[in-house]
Amino acid sequence: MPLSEEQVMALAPDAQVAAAGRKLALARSWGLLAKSARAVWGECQGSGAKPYQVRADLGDYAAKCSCPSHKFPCKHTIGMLVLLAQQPALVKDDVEPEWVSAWLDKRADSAQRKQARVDEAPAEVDAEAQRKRQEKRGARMEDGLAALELWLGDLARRGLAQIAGEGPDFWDKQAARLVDAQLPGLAARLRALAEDVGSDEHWPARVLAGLGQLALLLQAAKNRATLPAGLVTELDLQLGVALREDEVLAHGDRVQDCWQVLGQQIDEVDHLRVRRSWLAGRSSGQLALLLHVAVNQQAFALPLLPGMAFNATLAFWPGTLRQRALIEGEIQSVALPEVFWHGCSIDDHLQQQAAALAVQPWLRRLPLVLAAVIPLFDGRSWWLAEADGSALPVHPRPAAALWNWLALAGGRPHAVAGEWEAGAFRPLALYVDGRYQLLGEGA
Amino acid sequence: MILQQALLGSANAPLSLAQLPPQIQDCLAPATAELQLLLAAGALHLYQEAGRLPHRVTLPAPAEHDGSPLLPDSLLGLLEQCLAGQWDEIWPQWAARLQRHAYCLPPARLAAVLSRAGTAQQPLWQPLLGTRGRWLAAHQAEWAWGLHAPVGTAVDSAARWLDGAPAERVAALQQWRSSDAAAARSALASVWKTEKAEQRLDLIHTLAAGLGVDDAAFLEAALNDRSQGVRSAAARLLVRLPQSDLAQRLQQRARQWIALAPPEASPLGGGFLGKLAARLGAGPAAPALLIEPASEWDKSWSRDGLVEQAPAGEGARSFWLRQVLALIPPACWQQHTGLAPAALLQALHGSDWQEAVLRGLVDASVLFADGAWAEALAVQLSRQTETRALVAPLWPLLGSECRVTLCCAWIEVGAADLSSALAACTLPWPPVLESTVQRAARQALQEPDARNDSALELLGAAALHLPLAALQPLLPLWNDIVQRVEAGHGDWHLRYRISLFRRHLELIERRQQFDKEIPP
Repeated sequence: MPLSEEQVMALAPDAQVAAAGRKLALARSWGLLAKSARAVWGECQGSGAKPYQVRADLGDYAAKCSCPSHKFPCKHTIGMLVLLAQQPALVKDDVEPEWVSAWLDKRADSAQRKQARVDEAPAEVDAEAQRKRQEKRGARMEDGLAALELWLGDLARRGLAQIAGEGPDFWDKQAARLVDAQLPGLAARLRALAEDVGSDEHWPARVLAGLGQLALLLQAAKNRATLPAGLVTELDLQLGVALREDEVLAHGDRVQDCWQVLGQQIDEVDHLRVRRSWLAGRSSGQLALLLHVAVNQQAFALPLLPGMAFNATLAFWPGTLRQRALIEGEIQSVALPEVFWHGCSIDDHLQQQAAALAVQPWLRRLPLVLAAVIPLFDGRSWWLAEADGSALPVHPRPAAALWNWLALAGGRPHAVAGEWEAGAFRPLALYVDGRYQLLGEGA
Repeated sequence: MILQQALLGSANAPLSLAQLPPQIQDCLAPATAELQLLLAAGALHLYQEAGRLPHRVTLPAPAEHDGSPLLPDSLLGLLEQCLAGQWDEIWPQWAARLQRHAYCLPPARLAAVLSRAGTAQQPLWQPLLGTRGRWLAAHQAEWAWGLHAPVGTAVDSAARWLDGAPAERVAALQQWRSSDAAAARSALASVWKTEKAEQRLDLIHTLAAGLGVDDAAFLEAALNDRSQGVRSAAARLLVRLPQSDLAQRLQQRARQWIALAPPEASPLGGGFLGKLAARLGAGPAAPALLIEPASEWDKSWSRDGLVEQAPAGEGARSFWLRQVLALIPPACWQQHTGLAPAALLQALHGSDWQEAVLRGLVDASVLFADGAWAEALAVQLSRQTETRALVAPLWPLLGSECRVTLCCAWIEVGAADLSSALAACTLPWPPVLESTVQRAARQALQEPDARNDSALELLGAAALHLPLAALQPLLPLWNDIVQRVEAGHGDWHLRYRISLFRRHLELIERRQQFDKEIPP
């Protein structure tokens, strides 16, 4: 299946670029437009005298443009890809000009160098300095946990009803303190809870459950000495004391497979955009989470399109539940799939969740693909249901995504991918008639 | 239970864990009461999630399958721009074409269209929703416009009339009027006294549908309304009933004010000039009109829907004259003077009251839908730059041939407001109009003058309405202008307004794109 316009829109760093890109999807904006087996390129007349040279790698949709925009990918790149999606016949095959092939070769080169760096023997470590650093960090974390305990205690004493009236400052300050104490994992949980306060009638139950999880993590950290080794690693991962990427590559489990990007969710934290990409392996059935961070409207280092599939080896962060992973080496895109390769029933999912909680009791999110479910709105709440009427709750937000799901499904069962979080499902994408349809906020 | 404690806070409600499952109670570590509350909540969440069972729901009926073709994917981006209001000038044309071919919107766009289409645009989008869209629209009250059954029964309009929102009630009454005029009128009469002036005004307009002599009594009563707007609206309806007292009264008044001059009172008079004209063999003097509106306001006229206070810049007598003329069928003047419209307008020439009479006659032609008068007026008004703007309301009343002739004439003289004139000509344009526009557009492109608004309007209309084949030979000229300006040439005015030319080119390319997918 060829690239769809929706998928191109998912690459745009913000709505402005998306709209401007659409406007540029006109043949007359392009003096030159052509493609080869591995890239597409064009020249777009901008406000300057010289046209901008735009090129995109068809393998991973990384792109480069000669325009001075600080947003990546820029509107020219989006415009060119939209045009390619809308009117593929307009883009003729041609020999790569020098400015395209040089860029592609340079990309391949730097990828190789990066790989070489990883393969090199690690530099010698100053054991003494490292020990000191770790000690310092441990002390900071302990202080941070103690402060969190006080803060949580204060909150429980005053009651959630009163806390609801607090402004965002109340949460932000504590989250910032956790970041300072090098506990970013806890800070992220706290921020998500702050956003949930007051969002609908059921928020107190969800926020209480989230605060409860924080208290459990706190308790576990106190009892760290008595926990089994695997669980300590998992606990550190949850607190945010994650291994560095090179350590993961050195020690993590590896799974080689063909991976499908089930869906993506992008959260904005301060000036960062954090992208969660959920993957599923074709033959292993393994689920995985890739995290990528971009500053402001910069491009993500790896432009993954939702719905695409690629061959790669993933290395997983050690822990009791294999979830977060990173890509080892390069990815090789394959043809876009026309189905989710794996899907489960509601019962399967509940069993998998119970099994996951047994090894990872602080679990925040679980990806899942339900093979055949119908979305429905009963006038108050959203549900997903199987044909026999068994159902699970669905997060009420973002509402636009849910209405889109309802429209696409039309009251009939389809396979849908999403995240299970805080006792409810958040849909990310579904297949309708062999076609991948995005649901998230941007769609 | 534990949620309630958490909401109140441990300072206000003592901690009691007795109702928690024993498994949780057993494993709770000793801690402060506050922390224990949160630990219990965390453990309970884990316990409940690990043992979660599915809920049960009843499934609603799915949407029916619909055989209609879906809008091709390649047009989705364009559709998004139409929804955002970027192509309002051409969207009605495209929507009509899509509807003619029975196209439906793809499901992925339905929710966006239902929530974002503006009230004015909704009738264009509604036919494109298809079965799936109507099924979806039933899920939200704000989307009810998508359901819109074309023919409503009297029963449901009566129900909506009773408890709808103001705009809905007006729509309901309108519909009711067309099915049962008398019942709708008595329904209106029964609530008339309790409605606000603004609402009364909206409601009285609905009587235009199915207007008949039975409505006269109600409208007569409305002439005494406190609101000026309502009185005027009632008068405009009443005069359409020729037997009504009001119609008779106004005609009588107008006849006192306007008369055909007796021969000796020809415009040149019987004095020196008149004699000179006669001696030079100018023939019988052209008939002239004697116009003399009343000089004093009569209080009873307020009951005729007339307004005393003239707007700034207009004389009071002229204003009264204009209002009275606007309420009299223009055909009356033929009976009164025995002159055809064109001759009458000729006779008006040079009168001090000319503008007031012309504007009154334009309003009257529209109110009484008099095509013959509209044509005579449009031809007369088109002759002069100053009066051309008055033609605007007459376009819908003109025959298609007349529209085309006038448009061609307007193009020749470079009239302002060309775009609304050209928009009034039904598509496809006849060859004569097409070639005139094409010729004029070529000229406007060969010598681009960004200060000439008429030429710019002509180019805009050409980009919008000319068949693509007729535009093809013009495109190089068009592109050339844009490229010249982009390269830094062209005068300041042209550079300042170059976005207009870019917009024309974009419109033409979008039309090509649309026509390729959905041929006209």
